[in-house]
Amino acid sequence: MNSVTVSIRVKNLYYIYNPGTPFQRCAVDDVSFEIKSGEFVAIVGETGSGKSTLIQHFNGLLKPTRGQVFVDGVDIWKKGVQLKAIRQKVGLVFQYPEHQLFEETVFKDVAFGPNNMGLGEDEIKRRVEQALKMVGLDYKTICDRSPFELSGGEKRRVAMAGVIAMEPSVIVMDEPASGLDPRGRDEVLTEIRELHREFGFTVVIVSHSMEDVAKLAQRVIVLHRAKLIADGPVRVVFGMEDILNKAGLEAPQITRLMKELAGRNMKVRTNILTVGEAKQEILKALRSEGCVS
Amino acid sequence: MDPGSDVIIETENLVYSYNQSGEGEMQALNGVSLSIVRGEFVAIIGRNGSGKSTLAKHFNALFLPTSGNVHINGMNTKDPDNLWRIRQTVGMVFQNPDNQIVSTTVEEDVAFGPENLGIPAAEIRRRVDLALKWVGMSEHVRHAPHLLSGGQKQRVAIAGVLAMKPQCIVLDEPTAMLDPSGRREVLETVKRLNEEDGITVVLITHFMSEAILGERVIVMDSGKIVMDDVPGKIFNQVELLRQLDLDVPQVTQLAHELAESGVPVARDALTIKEFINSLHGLYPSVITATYGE
Repeated sequence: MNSVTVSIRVKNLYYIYNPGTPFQRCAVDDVSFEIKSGEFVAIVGETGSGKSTLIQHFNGLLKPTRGQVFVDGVDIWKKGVQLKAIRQKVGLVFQYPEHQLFEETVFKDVAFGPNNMGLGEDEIKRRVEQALKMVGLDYKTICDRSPFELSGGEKRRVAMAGVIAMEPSVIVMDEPASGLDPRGRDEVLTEIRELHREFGFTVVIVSHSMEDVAKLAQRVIVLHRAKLIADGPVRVVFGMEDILNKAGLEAPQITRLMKELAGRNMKVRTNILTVGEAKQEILKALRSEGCVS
Repeated sequence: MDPGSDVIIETENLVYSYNQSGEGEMQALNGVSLSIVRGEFVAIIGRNGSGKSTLAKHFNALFLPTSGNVHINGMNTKDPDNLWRIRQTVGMVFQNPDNQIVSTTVEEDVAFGPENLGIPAAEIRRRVDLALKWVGMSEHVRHAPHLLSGGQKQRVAIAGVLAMKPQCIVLDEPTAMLDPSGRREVLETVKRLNEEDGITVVLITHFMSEAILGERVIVMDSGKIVMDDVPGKIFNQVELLRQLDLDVPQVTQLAHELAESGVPVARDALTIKEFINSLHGLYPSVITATYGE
């Protein structure tokens, strides 16, 4: 993993839909931040807060109305920059990506991108094999199957593999777990965590689930009505109740519970994100009072 | 069955197979018998493919049993003469609000169902206004539905069902595609319709936080009912639910893990309030107040 290089940087970004018409609407309003290589960042906010519009700027699918986007230090809208190269570096997995599966076998679906890059057969096979492995699927048993006979979680992971096979350094995912049942959600989230931890990808997710964000991300960016209203470590931002309320969000149940306990004089930390942490913290408090051994 | 009885939905030995003549015949429902009483709020949970959506589609005769029977207010769904009365009794709301909107204004959309029943214009007007009021969308009566938020669209879809004056609403993952505030809007609306207007609610969901809203939870697996009880008794069976690939609320999981470490907090705590009150009861000197006064 690279140490501290900046992977994506947006500077005073504005995006206006339908400019100059009665339907003009500002979807991204003067947003600036940088994402360092190897970070895991979640972007949260209500529907219509600008999340999806924002991430489509990361690989040049949308062109800013004003402001700049840099990928690996390069202003992607500067003359002479090849957007194709940028899109290889920053892979975008859309919401419900399995709706875009269309080939008759898993192999062909994952190979679609590398094929278009004009790679040789051996290289394509290597990439497909590796990409499927990275999302926790066994190449041999799955490569000849039809994507349509897979489970929801498997389909979604095949769609992720299609992006990974382009060998990007950044993976951006819009609502990667939405619409899946708890098992499918676990499968997908576990693999996303591995992509970051084990394979060193820079990962950006858009999510409506604060529980998922608490489990996975290091940092969270909160959008509200096209503006960035908070950006910091998950532990810090999830403690800022008024910011979350303003954005129409709610901290995970476990975080809210610990706050309520502390408010009733129990000596526990309030910046808790997972059930495991909460358990340790409660046991510690009860032990120090001699309530349990 | 006695039509005057309080049972609104009844299935006896319900079996349903997809592809009944073809090769890949699949038994989606495998002998389901259940009764739902007028005014109940029932949540149905289960992993993907467990049969919960297939079951729900039998409640307003969208699907007919391969064998066994379904009675709605005593009317057998197999009898074509009952079809319209059944559809008027039980309304369905689906996952994707965009697929349920048919008109260019909110009021026309809500009026669509009653118009098809040949109801006089004045009565339709009255029903549309009332239905929109029920779901808190009166101010949007002349708006274009496609410009509404996801939660608003879903509430319009519910109003469309209400305008048919149903006795029961079946909602199949109505919040899967919504953000947290959209989810809250829809659930509060449903809860209110149940509590204040006595409408029977059947809610199919993957979110355990929604399943605990009802007074009864049915767990499906492999086309069968495997659990049917009050939420507290369902969710305290953490291990069994895990085997069924289902989640439990974070607070319930915490209560379980603490209980295993010697803290006898109520294992059926589902909410922050229940957890805090149980812990306060055990250690009033450490947690100095209850929740909810």
